[in-house]
Amino acid sequence: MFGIAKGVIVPSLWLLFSAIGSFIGFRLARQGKFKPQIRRIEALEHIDEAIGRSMEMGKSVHFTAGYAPIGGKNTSMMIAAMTALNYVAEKCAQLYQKLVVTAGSPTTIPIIEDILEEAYISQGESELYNPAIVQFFGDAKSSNRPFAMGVIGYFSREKPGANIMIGAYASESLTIAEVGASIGAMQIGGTARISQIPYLFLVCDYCLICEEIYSISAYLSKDPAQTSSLYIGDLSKSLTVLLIIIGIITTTLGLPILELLSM
Amino acid sequence: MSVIWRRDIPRVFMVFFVLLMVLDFNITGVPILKDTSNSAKGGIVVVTAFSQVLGAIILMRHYFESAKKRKPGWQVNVYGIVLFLFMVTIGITYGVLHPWYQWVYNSMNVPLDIAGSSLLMVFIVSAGYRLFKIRNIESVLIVVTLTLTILSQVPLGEHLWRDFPLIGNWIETVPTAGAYRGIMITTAFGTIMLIIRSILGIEEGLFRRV
Repeated sequence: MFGIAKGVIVPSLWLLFSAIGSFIGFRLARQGKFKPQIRRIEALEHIDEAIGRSMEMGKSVHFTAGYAPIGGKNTSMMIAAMTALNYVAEKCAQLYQKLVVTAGSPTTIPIIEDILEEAYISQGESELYNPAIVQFFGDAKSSNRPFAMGVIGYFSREKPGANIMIGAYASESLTIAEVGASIGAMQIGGTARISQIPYLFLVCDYCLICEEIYSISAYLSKDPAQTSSLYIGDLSKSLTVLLIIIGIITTTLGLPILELLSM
Repeated sequence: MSVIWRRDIPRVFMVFFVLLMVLDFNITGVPILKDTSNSAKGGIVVVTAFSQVLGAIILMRHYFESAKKRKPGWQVNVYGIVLFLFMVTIGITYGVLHPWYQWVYNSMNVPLDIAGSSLLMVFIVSAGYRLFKIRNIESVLIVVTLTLTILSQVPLGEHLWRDFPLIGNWIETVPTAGAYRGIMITTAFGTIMLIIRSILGIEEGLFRRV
């Protein structure tokens, strides 16, 4: 029989309001009536510096989005990684800087190649694009070790001047970042995997912590339309915190508010 | 046509499948919805299988080019090509349970995987030794917490003072779990907003404005 699944009404309404809020914010931003500001994010401010430093040292820039495929719970992180890759590729094309992208999953390779090709074409440097920019180091179906070892091998041979690691990572994040630190590369890391944040924060020069990777596109493009959706997201978070506080108080007082929210 | 093919059509597919999954999650009693959703999820398996083949082809292309141009370490690439062809031949012809296949896997893949894992332990220790320096109040807090947590986990800690495990357990279950859940909530919101932006065409990640 047709019906609504148990316990999804309130989350679905929340999702709907977030979508409507994003759309309204987008329209207002497009009309110039809404111009939210983003706080400074150090890691994103230093991407240009990392690329420039590599150029001065005569070394390449290394970018990796991690071992994970695009699909499942990693999708959002990989989308954020591709956004960052687009920016890095355009910058490297502008500066005639050598870029190498390592991939740990074959599902990401066509997307990476397309992004790189588009980035180089958009900067008028299509002749600089070479499919060999993308290096695939084994599939992580059973383990991410082949990918980690492949990247370490590349670092040992080529010694890139900058290592940008934004995406979905497991245990290979510390391995790669530590070797990157040992060769003197300037490192910028970021992931939404909480378990890997301490490692990246420890070893990388600059780190994007969890949700910050989802603001890459808005921050780097300075587009008010994208920034407005970040504002709506922050608003949703604030309301959620308020709801949590209300839930704590009402539950302590014995009021059945939680049953209402569990519809 | 290029804009429609590269941006609009993928976006239409994305919106369709996101709405399909959301409706399947929220609505019950509609068999066609459930069947379509399950078919879509099954399609992911097919795409993944094709991507495995694609990955193998790309890897072999890289190995062949490196060997052909005699790049540094080309001998390893030749070894990789030979091993790949051997494993594919044996696997397809006799199956993955063949003794030769199992021997290569157990004698090469497994020990190398273990060696790679052990490298991680070395790197954790070296990173901690290099970077845990007391410079300010935050680093003092980190070192103290780290010390208490380590002492709570090792038998020596309990031998020194029986309440070290209790302190470590409190650190894990109260402040760490609280911070973990807070970050999980904000990350979840960030994920949702990213997908909403992608659907509305605001996000310039995968579907860049042409």
